[in-house]
Amino acid sequence: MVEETAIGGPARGFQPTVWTAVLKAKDLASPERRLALEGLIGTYWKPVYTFIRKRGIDVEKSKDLTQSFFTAFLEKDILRNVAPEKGKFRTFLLTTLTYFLADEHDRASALKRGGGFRFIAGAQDLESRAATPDAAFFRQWAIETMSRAVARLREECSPEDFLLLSEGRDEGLSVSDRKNRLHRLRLRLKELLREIIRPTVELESEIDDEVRQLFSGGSQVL
Amino acid sequence: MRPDCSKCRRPIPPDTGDALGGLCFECISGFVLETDPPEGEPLPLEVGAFFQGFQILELIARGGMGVVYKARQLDLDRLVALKVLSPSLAGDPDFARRFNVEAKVLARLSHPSIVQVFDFGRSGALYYLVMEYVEGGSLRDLLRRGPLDGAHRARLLSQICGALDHAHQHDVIHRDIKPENILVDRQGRVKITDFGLAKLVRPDPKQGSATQVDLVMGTPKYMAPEQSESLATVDHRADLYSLGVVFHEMLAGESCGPTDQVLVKALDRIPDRRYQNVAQFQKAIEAAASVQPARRRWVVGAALLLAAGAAALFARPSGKPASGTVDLLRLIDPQTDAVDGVWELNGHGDLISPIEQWARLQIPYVPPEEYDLLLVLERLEGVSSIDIGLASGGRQFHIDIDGWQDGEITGLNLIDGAPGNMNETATRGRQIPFRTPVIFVCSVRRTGVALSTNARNLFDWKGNLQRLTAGRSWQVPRTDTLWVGAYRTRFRIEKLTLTPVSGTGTFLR
Repeated sequence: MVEETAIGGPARGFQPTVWTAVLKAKDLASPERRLALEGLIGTYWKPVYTFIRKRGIDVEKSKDLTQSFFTAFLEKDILRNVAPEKGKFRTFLLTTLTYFLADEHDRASALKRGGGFRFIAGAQDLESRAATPDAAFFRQWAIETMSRAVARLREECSPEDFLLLSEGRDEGLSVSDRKNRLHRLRLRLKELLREIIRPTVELESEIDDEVRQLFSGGSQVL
Repeated sequence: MRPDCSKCRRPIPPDTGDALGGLCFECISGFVLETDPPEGEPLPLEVGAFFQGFQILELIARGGMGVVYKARQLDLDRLVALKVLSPSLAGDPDFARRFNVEAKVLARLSHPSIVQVFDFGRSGALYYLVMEYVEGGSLRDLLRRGPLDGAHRARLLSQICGALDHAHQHDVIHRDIKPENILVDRQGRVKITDFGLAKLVRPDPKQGSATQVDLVMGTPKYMAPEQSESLATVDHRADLYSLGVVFHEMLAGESCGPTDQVLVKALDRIPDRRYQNVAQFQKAIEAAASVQPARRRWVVGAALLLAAGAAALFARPSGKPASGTVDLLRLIDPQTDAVDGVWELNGHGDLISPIEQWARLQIPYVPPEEYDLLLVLERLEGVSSIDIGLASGGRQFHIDIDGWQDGEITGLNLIDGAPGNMNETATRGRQIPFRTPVIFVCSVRRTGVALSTNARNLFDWKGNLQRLTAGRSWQVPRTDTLWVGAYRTRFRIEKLTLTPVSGTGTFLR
C-alpha cells in the first residue's frame, strides 16, 4: 500500500495573500511574507517531487531534494532578484527548480541548512503516469489543485451532495432536485478552483488561463 | 488493490489516489466542464406553461444555445422542434432587437436541406423558435456508426453544399457548421439546422470568465481561424472552412492526392486563399471524388493541424528533440538564416525567395533520418528553379524542382555525382506554373527518396543514400540541416512542414 497523502500535508485553507504581494514585499525577512510563501508552495510539493523523480533520481534522494528545494526557497533569497512582472508562480517555481537541480553547490548547502522543517512525512514513493519531468510536474500540479478544490468542497457541502458527486448516489432525489444539486456543485467547484489558483497569479485575468491549463494538464501524459 | 473510478470504472492511477473523492482526474474534469443547464432552465413540464399551443413531448437536445424539445403544435396537429434559447439571454437589452432581425432572416430561408423555421418570438422570459421536426439523427450519429461509402458521402455533401449555397446567396452565414448541426432524416435527406444562431447567441469572447472557459472547451475544431478572433468580421468563407473540417471527417482517412489538395485549400488560414464560394468547393470535391481513393496520406493531418491554427503545438525549444509535425516556416528567421540573398517573410508568414543566383537559406533544423515533407509553393516571378535541400543521417542532398528555363527538368541531386537533369530521376515538364500554388510531397527514407505532386509521382528513387551528395553551388554552412534555394526566381512558400517517420529531429534554436 502506498502512503502518499502525507506528502505536502493535508489540503490547506484558502490563503488570501497573493503572489504579487510576495513579490512586492519590501521586507524580505518579514514573517508575513514567509507565511504567504508557505501558503503558496503547499500545492507544489507533489509536483516538485514527481518532477525530480522523473529525472531518474531515487525515492529517498528525491524527497531530500524536494525538501532542500523548498527550504532553500523559503530561507534563501531566491526571490530577491525577481522582478515583479515575473509572471505566474507556477512558471517561476519550475524555472527556479530547474536551476536548483542544476546547481550542485546550492543543493549541498541547502541540505545542511534544512533544520526545523520536516515537510515530507510519507514513507513511500509517488508514481506518475507522465512521460517527462515537465509533464509530471504539470500533471501533479493539476491533480493537486483539483484535489484541494475537491477537499474544500467536501468540507462545505452536505454529505449527500458529496456522495452524489463522488459516487453518483441519487436515491430519493427528484429529477430536478438532482439536476439543481449537480449544477450547484459544479459551479462551486469551478469557483473553488479559481480561488485556489488566484493567489498564485498576478492578474485576475490569468486565472482563466490557469484553469484551462489545469484541465489539459491533468490529462496530458505524453 | 487500487479502487476504480466510481464513474468510468477504470482504475485510478497511483498519482491520483483518492484525492479526488473516488473519481479519476478525467471524470472530475468532465464533471466541471459538462455543459451545464443554464440557471433555472425549465423542465419540459414547466416549459409547457409558456407555450399554450404546444404539447411538450420530450427534450431532444441541449447545447450552448439553449434547449430543443420535441413538441406537438396542437392547432395544426404537427410535430415541431421547439428551440428555447437560454433564459439568461433575456438579460441582454440588445438581444431582443438582434433576435427579431436574425430570426426574420432565418424564417425566410426556404430550402429542402435547411430546417424550416415556422415561427419565432418571446414568451415570458423565453425566446423561442418553432422549427420543422426532423425524424432521424445527425451526421455525427452516422459517422459514429462507421465510415461512409463514397456514394453516400457524395449524396450528403451535395445536399449540404446546396443548403449552404442557398443560405449564402441570401447573405446568411451559418457560423457553426459541424456534424451535430447537419441532421439527416430517415430517408437520408440532409437538413441543416441552427443557421446564424451562433452569432445571435454566443457571447462576446471578451466578456465573462467562467463562460470563457466553457467556450474554449467547446468545439473550436470546426471554427475558421478568423472566427476565434472576432465573430463580427467573418464572412461566408468561414462556413467553407468548417465544411472542410466536416469533409475531412467524412473521409475518415480515405483520401487521395486530389482530396488532400481540396483540404489544404479549404483549410487555409487565410480566407482569400480558400475556395471563395460553395460552388467552387463542390466542384473541387466532385472532381476529387472521381479519382480512386488511395491509402491514407499524412498530408491531410498536417494540413489540418496547420490550418486549425495549431501553431502553438509546434514547439521550438532550443536543442530539444522534435517529434510530431514541425512547421518549418515558423522556425525561420530570414535575417539570421539567409546564406545568400534577401529572403523575406510576408504578412501571412509565407517565405519569399529573392531573384538571385544561388539564393540559399538554411533552416535551423536537423531532420530525423526518415520523414515526409509537405511543400506548397507558388511561382511569382522568374523562370528558373527552386531547390529543396534535404538531409538524412548527416548527409545532404537536394531536389531541383522545375529545373532550367529551357529544359524544365526536375530531379534529385546528385546521384553518384550526376545532377538531377542527367540521372534516372530526371522528370521533364514544368512543375510550377505561374500564380498557382502547387503541393509537393517529398519522402525521405533509408531506402530512397520520392517526390510527388498532386498525387502524381515525379520520381521514386530507390538506392543507398550514401550515393547522394549536395551540389557545390548550393552549399550552406551546416552539412546536416534542411535548406531551401532559389535560382533567379521569386517563389512564395506557403507551407513547409515535416512529419518524422523514424528518428528524431533537432531544433537548432
